[in-house]
Amino acid sequence: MYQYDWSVISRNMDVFIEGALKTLEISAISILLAIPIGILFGLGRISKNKIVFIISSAYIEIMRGVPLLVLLIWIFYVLGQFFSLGSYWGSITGLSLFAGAFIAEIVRSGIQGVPKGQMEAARSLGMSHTKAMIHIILPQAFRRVLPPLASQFIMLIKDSSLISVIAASELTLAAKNLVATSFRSIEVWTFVALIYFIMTFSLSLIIRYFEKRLLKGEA
Amino acid sequence: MKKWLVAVLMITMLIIAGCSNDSGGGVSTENSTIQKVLKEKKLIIGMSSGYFPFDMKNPDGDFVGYDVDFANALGEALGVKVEYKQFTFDGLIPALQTGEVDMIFAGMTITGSRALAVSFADPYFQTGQAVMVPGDDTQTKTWQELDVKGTKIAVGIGTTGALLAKDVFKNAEIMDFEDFPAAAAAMAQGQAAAVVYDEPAIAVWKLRNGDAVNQLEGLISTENLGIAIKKNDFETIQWVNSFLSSYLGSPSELASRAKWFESSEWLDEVVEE
Repeated sequence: MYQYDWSVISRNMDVFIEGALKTLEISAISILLAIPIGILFGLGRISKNKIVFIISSAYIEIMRGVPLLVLLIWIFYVLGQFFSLGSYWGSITGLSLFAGAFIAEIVRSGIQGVPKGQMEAARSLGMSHTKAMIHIILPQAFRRVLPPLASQFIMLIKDSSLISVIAASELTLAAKNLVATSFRSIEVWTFVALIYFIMTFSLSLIIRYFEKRLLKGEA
Repeated sequence: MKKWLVAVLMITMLIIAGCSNDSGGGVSTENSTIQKVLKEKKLIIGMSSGYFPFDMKNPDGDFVGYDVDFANALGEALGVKVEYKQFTFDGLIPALQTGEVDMIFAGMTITGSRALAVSFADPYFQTGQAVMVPGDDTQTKTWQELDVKGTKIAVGIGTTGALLAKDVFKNAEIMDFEDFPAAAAAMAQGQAAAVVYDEPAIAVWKLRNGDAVNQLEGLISTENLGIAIKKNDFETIQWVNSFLSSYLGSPSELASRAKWFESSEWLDEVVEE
């Protein structure tokens, strides 16, 4: 029934490469913005200050409760009326706000995972709460949060395929356009799946390498 | 690394190729769409919603429009039930190729490149590509004026408007949206300076949004719409062509045309999607 023609892949390799680079670029900028957002709100989530706690919790719950696709469309069409974000910055805003909420939860659980005795011991040595946090708790929490943080980055690369709905040029939109002109959907989407897999798998290999080195440092 | 990549690709291809029941080429009427439809007593139409006034959805979630009247009449002539499956416009041809649907009724423009992937019955409607700008833009008179660096033109992904815009606009940036309503909404929010799309749909959009939008005079191109059928399915193409010549100009077709193109009473019954 269906006649395969894989030459569409080799003929349009430049389109795929350009799209994949754009995907990586947008994902990298988004994660770089999401990490400080996540740390800020993660700390806010364990803050004793009621207002800070409520704001942080509200942000995290809203971001976790709204599908990313809907969030992106909302940012582009609603927020876009007040700020001229465009497709590119609208996508980065959506992705980093979304990933930020998940990172906040990772940060919170990382800090809370450090045994209570550590803080008590630091305080009894005369350190202030802030000082103990910076010198004792956070360095230990950092090691704990690295693996889930890395999988969040991988998740972000996959999630970035959704930004094609707000006309942001990246791998998925490039593929949609190629399918629209070549009608080779099976070939194109198979190859796109492969590219996403190669990107995420190489990333997870790199992360594993760094994790091993980090563990060595600990021993 | 490269060898490894090739190996993975090959395996994927083999798996997919193995799954398909490729019975080879050649003209036969045995596995023609029309025979299959008659046997199963069911005609599955691929449609994309949001193409006014051809393919739209009412509040009950049913498809309505000129194409729907047409497809229903075709189903009636065959004596079979008509079923609609919704896809985004760029997903329609792949759906036909893989056998998800029997025919595409989606106001699809007949083009040479599409005809390499699917076959078309004779044209059933003539239209063209028009340009829509926001109502407060009274400066722009022709589409050529929009072709400057930094200007953004919104289109529906995979539509003729998209292909044409990428071809004729040399300096402006083309933004691909899921469908025409999404592109029109982007323009309304100031994300794009204009939308390139089929003239009848823009006319309806203007009818509905009044002074909020303007249509530039003249068309970028004229084109013919056709029903897409599985590639080289000659029996089906021939039958649809025969039906087409009896349907066009018939009382029911004239009534359908009057309803969707000459009045706007149906506007309230249709969901914006």
